[in-house]
Amino acid sequence: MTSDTTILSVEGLCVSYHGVPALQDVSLSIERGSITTIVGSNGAGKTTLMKAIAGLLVPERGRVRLYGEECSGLGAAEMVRAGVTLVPEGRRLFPQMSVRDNLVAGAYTRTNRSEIAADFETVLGHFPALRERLGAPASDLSGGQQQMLAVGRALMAAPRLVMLDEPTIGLAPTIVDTICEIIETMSRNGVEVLLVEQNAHIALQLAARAYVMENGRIVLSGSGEELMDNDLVREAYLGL
Amino acid sequence: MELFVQLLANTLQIGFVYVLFALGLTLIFGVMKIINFAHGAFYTAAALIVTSVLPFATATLGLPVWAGYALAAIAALAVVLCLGALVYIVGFQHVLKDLNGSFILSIGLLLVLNGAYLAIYGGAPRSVPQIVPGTVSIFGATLTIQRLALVIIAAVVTAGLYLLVERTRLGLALRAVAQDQEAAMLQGIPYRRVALYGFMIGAALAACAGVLMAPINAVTTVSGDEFLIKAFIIIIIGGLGSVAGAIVGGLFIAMIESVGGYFFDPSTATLAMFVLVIVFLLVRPQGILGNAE
Ligand SMILES: Nc1ncnc2c1ncn2[C@@H]1O[C@H](COP(=O)(O)OP(=O)(O)OP(=O)(O)O)[C@@H](O)[C@H]1O
Ligand SMILES: [Mg+2]
Repeated sequence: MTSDTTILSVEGLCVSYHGVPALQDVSLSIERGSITTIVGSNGAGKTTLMKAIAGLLVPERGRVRLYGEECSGLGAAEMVRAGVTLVPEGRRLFPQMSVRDNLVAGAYTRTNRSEIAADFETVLGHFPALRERLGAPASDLSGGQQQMLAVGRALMAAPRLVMLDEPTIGLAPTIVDTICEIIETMSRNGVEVLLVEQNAHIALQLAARAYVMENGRIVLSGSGEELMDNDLVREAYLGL
Repeated sequence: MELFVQLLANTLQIGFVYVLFALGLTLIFGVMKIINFAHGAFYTAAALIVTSVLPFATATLGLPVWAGYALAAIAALAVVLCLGALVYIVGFQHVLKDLNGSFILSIGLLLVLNGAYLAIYGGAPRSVPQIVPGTVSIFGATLTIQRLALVIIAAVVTAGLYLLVERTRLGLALRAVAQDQEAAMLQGIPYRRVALYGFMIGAALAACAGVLMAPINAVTTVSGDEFLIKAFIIIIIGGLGSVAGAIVGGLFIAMIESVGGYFFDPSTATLAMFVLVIVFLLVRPQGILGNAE
């Protein structure tokens, strides 16, 4: 399953909360240049999987490899240094910090000032709405602007893989479009994307490869198009 | 005018010591989400060390008083930093974000340290000779230069801490951890190391307060503990975890104390403080500058 084009692979991952299993024997891989998505209903274990990859949760069994190298057991900060960032569920901005400081915090692991400044401009180029609010505390932003800031903050780390946990939840349709565009742009610019969405329409359209999770297990996988035609997916996640 | 200057000077002198003390407490709470009930022990340690190093430096080493005081200050800071690192590594790092655990740990630590200080230094109050002689007259009010110097040094340390928190990379990490620890880790901020730095800075601030107050007030083995309750009041009024809040709150409480103590009496001022706390807890529990969650 692991090949030269595999960016990240998860093999037989098991995670539980206080003895209650949340992930059971989960395996998946993220291939170069393609958006990968995980769909699944509430409590399926999508967030748990992303947190385990990001190094926030310690798996009981199984491993995570990045570019073929084992990175299970690395902490969250080390995973960021290795090039993996997570845009967490609920955005988790630093509410009392300014928009600027939130973005600067995203570049915490980097030291090259001119590169950071260049990426700062790139991010503001993606999200012009943030430029006018640079001095405002993050908590003053609208929901859409907050999500843009969360994505922008992740990009400030110059990541090789960005994981997005339900980035469009609760947003107005036009803003959902903006977020989708930026996800595609990221992917085109060579950043790998792992996307978790409850909105399977969006996810399956964007993704080259998709996984369906139920009760902590991967139950289906295939290309986005294949899954869109799958009867189970159509019924359970697309409401068709 | 003379009275005004006198009260202002009093307010600033008590106030900045409160600010230094409360800043450390609030910083430690911010990054570790614990309350260090043994914070006063850092103050006491520093003040006690000044009372023994200063006479040694002047009598045995033959240094002038100011140099002896500087040496004592360095020794006090060094010892408190070592003590802080020790209690962090042995104790506090195991109770991060654990209110119950840290309560038990810090109360126990307070008893142990107070006992150790008593064993080493005995119960009698200790005092230090005057460091800077002389007085100045400002608008007819006579102030000792020593007190003026204390205010200036404390204000500089406070400003330095403010800049550290607002303008530096470490400050950014401290703020990020205080606001959302998990999100901070997701930016690559090493949470445990930042918590250690926050704790050490807090200890150093308490040590500064102790060093500055040693020449002004007699030092006992429990001197620092008296500040704890005041610091809680300051933090409630200023907003838990807020640097600016600790500064505003500290000066505000000092003003109530010195102005209230002058026009009424000290017990009225104390009463006023507690009434104020009750009012704040009822009306604005997040404090003047704290943010509602
Ligand atoms: N901190 C926790 N402690 C205990 N159990 C948890 C914790 N977080 C999640 N769980 C449980 O683990 C399972 C998977 O949760 P998870 O949040 O990963 O699901 P999800 O697919 O992200 O759901 P959603 O779509 O609602 O975000 C659920 O049964 C949930 O109740
Ligand atoms: Mg989730």
